[in-house]
Amino acid sequence: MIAEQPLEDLLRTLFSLPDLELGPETGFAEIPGWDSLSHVNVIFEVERRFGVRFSDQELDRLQELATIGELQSFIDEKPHPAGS
Amino acid sequence: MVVTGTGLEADLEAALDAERPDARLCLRIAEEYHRRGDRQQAFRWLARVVDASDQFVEWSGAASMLARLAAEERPLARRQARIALTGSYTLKPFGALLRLAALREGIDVVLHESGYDQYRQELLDGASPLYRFEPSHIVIAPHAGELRFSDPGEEPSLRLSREVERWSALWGAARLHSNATVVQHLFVLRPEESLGHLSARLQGSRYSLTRELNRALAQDAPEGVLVVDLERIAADFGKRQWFDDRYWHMTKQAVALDALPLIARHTAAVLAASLGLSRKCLVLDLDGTLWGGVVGDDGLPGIRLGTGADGEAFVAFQEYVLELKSRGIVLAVVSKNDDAVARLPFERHPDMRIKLDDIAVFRANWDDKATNLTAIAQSLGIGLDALTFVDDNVLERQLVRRMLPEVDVVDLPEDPSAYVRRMADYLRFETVSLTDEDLNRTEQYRARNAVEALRQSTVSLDEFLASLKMAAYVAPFDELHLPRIAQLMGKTNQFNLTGLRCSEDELRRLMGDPDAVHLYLRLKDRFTDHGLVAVLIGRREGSLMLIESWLMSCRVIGRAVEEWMLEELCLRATAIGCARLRGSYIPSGRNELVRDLYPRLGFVQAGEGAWELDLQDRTPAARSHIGTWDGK
Repeated sequence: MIAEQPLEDLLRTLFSLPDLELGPETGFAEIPGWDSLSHVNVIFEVERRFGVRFSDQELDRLQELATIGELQSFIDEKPHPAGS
Repeated sequence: MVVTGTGLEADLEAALDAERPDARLCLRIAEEYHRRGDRQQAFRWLARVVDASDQFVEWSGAASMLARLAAEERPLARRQARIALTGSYTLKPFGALLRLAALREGIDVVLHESGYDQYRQELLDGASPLYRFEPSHIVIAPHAGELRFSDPGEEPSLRLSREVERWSALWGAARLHSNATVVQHLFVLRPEESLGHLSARLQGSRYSLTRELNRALAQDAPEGVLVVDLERIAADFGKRQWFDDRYWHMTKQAVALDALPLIARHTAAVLAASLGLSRKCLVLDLDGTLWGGVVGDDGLPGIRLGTGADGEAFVAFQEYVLELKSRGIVLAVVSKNDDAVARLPFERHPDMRIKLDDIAVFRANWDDKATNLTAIAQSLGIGLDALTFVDDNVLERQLVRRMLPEVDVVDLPEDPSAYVRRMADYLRFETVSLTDEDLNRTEQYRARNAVEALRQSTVSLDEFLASLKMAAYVAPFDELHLPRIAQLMGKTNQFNLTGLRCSEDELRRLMGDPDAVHLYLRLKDRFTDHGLVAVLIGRREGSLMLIESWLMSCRVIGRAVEEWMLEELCLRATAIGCARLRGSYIPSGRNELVRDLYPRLGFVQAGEGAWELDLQDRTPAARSHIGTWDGK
C-alpha cells in the first residue's frame, strides 16, 4: 500500500503548481498544462518513483485512466518487487 | 516585511548554505518570489534547478514555471536567442528543458517548435513557419531511426554520401533562407546489432554507416553549422538508460526522459559558446587542488604529488588543466600562501606538470580570495564573469559564491581522482572554433600583466604609453581574418558601442557592399603581438558616415587605440567624400565603459544616444603613441 501523498507530490512538482488542490476525484484534464504527452510522462515517473515497471499491456490501460484515484488504485494493485 | 520561520527567508538561508541546493527548495523559493511579484528573482532560482538536479521531473517543473512566468515578463539575460527547434521525434519536452538550460547560461530563449517529424518541409520551404519566425538559431534534432541508408545492394560509400548530402542540403537551405546559426544533433548508434561484432568491420552495416555519417557531418559542417555530439554523451550516460523503446511506441519520444536534461545542458552549452558566453580564465587554488597537503606546513618533500594514488591523481588533474590551457583557456593562481613558498613546487618539484610560464597571473598572499579574484580579472582586463574558480575548500568556494556571484565556482569532489571528471563535466569552456588567438592567449595575457606592472611604475600616462612602443596595422576586412572578426564581434561586451553581432556570411556580404567601410586593427607592442583586437564598421549615406559597429578587445583598453583608430576612419571617410561622422551608443548593461566615448573623442551630441563629428573643420590629432606597422 502506498500513501496518497507521493503521487500528488509528483504531479505538483512536474507541473510546478505547489498549491494545486488534488483529490481522488480530480481528473487529469483539470490540471493546468496537462496534455497526452504529460500523461505518459507521469506514467514513467510513477514507475521510477514507486519502483515498479509496467508491462506493455498495462501501459495501454494506464493511458485510458482519467482521474488521480484511478491511477492510485492501479499502482496499489500492482505487485511490488520484493524489498521496495 | 513580516516573515514566518518556514517562509522565504528560511528557505533562502538553507539554499545559500548548501553548495548545490536541493532542486525542490529552489522551486519553492522561485514560487515564493513569484507570489511576491518578483519574477526576476524567481527566474534566478528556476535557473538554479539546472545545477541542482539531473532529474526530468524537477527540470520539467522548473521549465513549466518558466514558461508561465516568461509569458508575463521576459527574464533579464545577457543574451537573447530565437530558437527554431525541428527534428524527427516528439520535441516538446526537450524544447521546454532547453529553454531552462539556456536561461542558466544567461540566454533568454523564444522558442518555435516544428510539428512532429516536419523538419524536411520546414527547412526546405523558404516560406515555412520556421523561417517566418526569423530564428537566430535552428536546432536540428533527428534520431538515428530516421536514417534510411537506402539500397543495401549499393556501394557503402555511395549509401553514405547520399545520406551526408541529404543533411548538407538541409543545412544549405537553412543558410539560404535565414541568417540563423544551425545546431545539428549528431546520431546515437543503437547498440542492438544483428551482425554482432562483424558490424564494426562491415562498411555497409547500419552501425558502421551511422558512425561514418557522424564523422562526415562533424568534419564537413561549414561555418555557421555547429554540432552536438550526442553519441559521446549517450555513451557516457549509458545507452541502456538512454533508449527506452516504450517511449517511442507510446509518444514517439526517441530518448528516455531522464536523458533529456543532459541533452538540453549540452545543447545550451553550444548555444552559449556561439553567443560568446564562454568563460576565458581558470583560476586555480594550490594546496589540495594542484597537489595534496599544504606546502607551507609540509614542506616541498611533504606534498603529495606524483607518487601514490592521490599523488598520481593530482598529476592527471594538472595534465588536464594544461590541455585546457593549450586550447586557449588562460590559467591563473590564487593561493593563501607566502609568494615564495607557493612558487616552490613550480620551481623545484620534479612531478609538477604546470610550470610558472603557464600561469598568466600568480597571486599568493594572505588577502581573501574574492579580493584576489577581482585583482586577477582587473590585471587580465576581463570581467569577473569570464572567470572560473576551482578550489578543494568548500569554505573558500562559498565565500566566493557569496561575494562574487559573477564568478563561476567549480565544486571539486573529495577525491582528487575525480577532479578531471568534474572539470570535464564543466561545460562553460565550450567553444565553437579555435583561432590562432585562442592558442596563443596565455602569452598575450602574461604580457598584459607585465604591462600592468609597468603602468604602476611609470610616472605619466604619456610616458607609459610611449614606453610600450606600440604599432598598429589597419586594413579592410579580408577572408583570412573573418573568423577572428566574427569571434571578436560575438564576444566583446565592454568596449562595444552598438552590440551588433555578425556571422561570417553577413560580414562577407558587407565586404561586397560599396557603401560599407570596414576596418580591423592589429596591435603589437614590445611585449607581444596582440593580434586582431578592434573592429569598426561604417556605412556611407550621402555625405554622412554612420558608425554601425565599433568594438575593441578589453586586452587593449586604455592605450589610446580608439583615438588612433578614429583618425584612421576620418582619413578614409574623407577620402570617399564624407563630411561628417555619426556614432551611436546603445546600452547593453555591460558597455558602460564607452557611454561617453564619442563626447570624449570630440563628437557633438546629435539627439538621444547619438553624436556627430564634423570632418571639414577638424584638425587631425597627433598619433604619437602608436606607430604604423606594415602588418608583417
